[in-house]
Amino acid sequence: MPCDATSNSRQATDISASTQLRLAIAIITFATLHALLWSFVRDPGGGGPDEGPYFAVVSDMASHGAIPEFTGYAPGAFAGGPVRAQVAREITPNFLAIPIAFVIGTIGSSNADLNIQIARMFMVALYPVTLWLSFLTLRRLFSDTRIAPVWGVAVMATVPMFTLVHTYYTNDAPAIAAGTFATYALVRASQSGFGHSDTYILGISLGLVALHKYTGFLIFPATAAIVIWQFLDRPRRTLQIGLTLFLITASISSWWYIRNLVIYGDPTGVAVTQAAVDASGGAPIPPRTRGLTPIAFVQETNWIGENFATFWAGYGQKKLKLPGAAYLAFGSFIIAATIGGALRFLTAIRQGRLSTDVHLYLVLATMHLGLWLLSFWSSYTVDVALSGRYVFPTFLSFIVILILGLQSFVVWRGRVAATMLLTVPIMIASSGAYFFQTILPDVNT
Amino acid sequence: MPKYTQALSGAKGQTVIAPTQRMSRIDVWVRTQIEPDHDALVTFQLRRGIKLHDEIASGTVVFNRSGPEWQARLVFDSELVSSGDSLYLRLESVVESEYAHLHYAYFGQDLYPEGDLLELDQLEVPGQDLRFKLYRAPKLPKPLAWAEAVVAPAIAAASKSRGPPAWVIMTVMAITGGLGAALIIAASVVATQVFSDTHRVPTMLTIMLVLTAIVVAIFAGSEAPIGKLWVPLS
Repeated sequence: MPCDATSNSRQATDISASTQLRLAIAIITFATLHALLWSFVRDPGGGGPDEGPYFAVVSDMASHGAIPEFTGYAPGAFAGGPVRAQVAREITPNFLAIPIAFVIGTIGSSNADLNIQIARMFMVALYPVTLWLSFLTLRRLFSDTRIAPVWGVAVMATVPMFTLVHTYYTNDAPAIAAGTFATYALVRASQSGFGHSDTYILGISLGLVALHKYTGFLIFPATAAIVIWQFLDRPRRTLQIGLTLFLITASISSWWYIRNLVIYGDPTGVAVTQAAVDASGGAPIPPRTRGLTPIAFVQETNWIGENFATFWAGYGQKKLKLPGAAYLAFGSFIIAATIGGALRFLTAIRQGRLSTDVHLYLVLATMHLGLWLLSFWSSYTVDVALSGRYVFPTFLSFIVILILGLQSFVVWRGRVAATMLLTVPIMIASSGAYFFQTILPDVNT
Repeated sequence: MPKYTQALSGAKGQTVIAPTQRMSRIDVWVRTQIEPDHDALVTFQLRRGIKLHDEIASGTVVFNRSGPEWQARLVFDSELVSSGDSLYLRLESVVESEYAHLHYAYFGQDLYPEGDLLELDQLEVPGQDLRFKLYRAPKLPKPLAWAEAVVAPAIAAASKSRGPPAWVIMTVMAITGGLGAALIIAASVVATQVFSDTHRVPTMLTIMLVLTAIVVAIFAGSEAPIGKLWVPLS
C-alpha cells in the first residue's frame, strides 16, 4: 500500500521518532551517571576551577542565613599571580546558590567535604536538564534529520570539559542551564511567532539568565535581534513583545541588581571589584592598561591555544588535557564545519533560497562567536583569565552551527545518518576512557 | 607537567612506600636521543631501602634508538613486596658517549611526600619526585580481574575524596557501563536497518564487532602489549 511504502522508505533513510527519543534518553542518562561518578571521585574543593572559594560563599550563606557581603580583598591577594578577579564572588549573580545553601543549612553536616558533595549533586542534576533542553531545541531546528539532534546531544554529553563543569560546585553550570533554557525558549517563541505562552516562557528564562553568571547575557541582544528581525514591519508588536519580556525579566531578577546598587553603589559589581583589587596592592595590571597590543597579548598568554584546549578538556594551564590527536580531530571538525557553513550560507544567498529559520541560525552563531570575542576582551582589558568554559552558556549554539556546517557537505540521511549514529558509541567510549585515563589518575597520583 | 633530568653514567632513584599488598608494577618515563650505532644501558633495580643494598629484583634495558617518551613498565612478582615496605627504585645508567642522551621525567614539586628523587643515592634537592606510577595485581581471578582493574581505581579515588562507599561506586559504574554497552547494541541495530535489507544479522554482528574493537582500543590501547617497553624485574 502507498502508505506503507512511504513509511518503509522513510524508515530506510532515517530513524523513527521513538528511536530518536530513546537514544536521546539513553545518552542523557549515561551522561548524568557519568557526571555523578566524576563528582564522587574528585577532591572536595578541588574538583574544578575555584570550587573551594565559590563553595565558601554557599557555606557562609548556609551558616548565617543571608547572602554574604563583599568587604574587599586581603592585602596582596592577587600579588604575584597571573590573574585579577573580574567580579567578586559575593557580587556575581548566582541564584542557585540560595536553594543550595538552604538545603545545606537544613540537612548538611559539620563535615565540609560532605556539604561540597551535596552541592555537587545540584550541578550534576543540571546536566540532564541542559541536555534535554538542548535535545528539544535541536529537534526543532533539525526536524528534517532525526539523527542530528541525537548526535548533537551526544557531543554535549561527551565533551570532557562540558561534563566536568557539571561535576563540581561552580557558578558555570547554572549559567549554562539558564542560557540553554533561554536559547530553547527563544527558538520556540520565534518559531511560534511569539505567541503569548511562549513569550512568557522566554521572559522567565531570561529572568533566570539575569540571575546567573554574566557569561550567559548575550542572549539578551540575541533576543532583541530576533524580535526586531521577525517584526521589522510591525513596530507596535515589537514594542509589545519587548515590554512583556522586560517586565517579566525585571520582576524576576531586578532585586539582585537593586541590592547591589544599595549595598555597593554598583549594580553589576565590576567597578567595585576592580577598585578592591587595585586597593589590595600588587595585583597584575591588565594587559591593555600595560600598553600591550591585542596581538602581543595573544602571543604572551597563548590565548587561542589555551582557550581552544580548555574548551574541550582540562580546566587550566596544562591540567587534564587530552592527547594532541584529539585536539587535531576537534580542530578539523571545526574547520570543516566553518567552511561548510560559509559555503552553504553564500550559496543560499546567491540562489535566494534562505531557510525560514535563517535568522535564528545567524543570531545563534553570532551569539557564540560574540561570547568568544567578549571573553577575549574581558581577559585583555580586565582579568587575564583564560578558559574555554566561559563560552559554555552558548555551547548549544556551537552545536547548532557545527551540525549546520557539517551538513553542508552531505545530507544526514540513509547511510550517512547511520554512520553518524555509529560515532555516538565511540564518543561515549572516549568519554569513559577519559574518566579512567585522566580523571582517576589525577586523583590517585 | 613533568620536566626531564639528564642521566649521565651514574644512578638516580626514587624512594617509595608500598601503599598496598600485591604491588606488581612501577612505570617510569624515559626520553632517549641516541645516534645510530650507539646505545645507553639502564639497570632498573628495586631495593629495600637505600643503604641496605638489599635488592628485591632488577632488569636491564639497552636503549639503541631515540624515543620522545618511553613509558617503561617495570613488572615484578607481586609476592615480593608487602604493604608499608620502604622501597628504593634505582635507575643505574651507563651512557657510553656524547652520542647517546638519557633523560628521566620528574616533577619539580613535591607531588609524592612519602618519597624523594635521589641523585647518586643522595638527597640533593628536596621536594622533587621522579615521575612514576604504582600498580598492584588484581586479587580476583580472570575474567573478574578485568572488572577489578576497572573498578578498583574508582573506589580508591572516591575513598581518597571522601566520596560514597564502594557499593555505590560499583552500582553507578555497572549501570553506566551497561548503558554504554546498550548504546553500542542499539546503534548497531539501528544502523543495520539502514545498511542492509537482506543480510541483517551478519551486518549487525559485523558492525557490533567493529564498534567493540574500537571501544576496546580506546579504553585499553595504551595497555596493549605491542610496541611497549616491558621490563621484567627478577
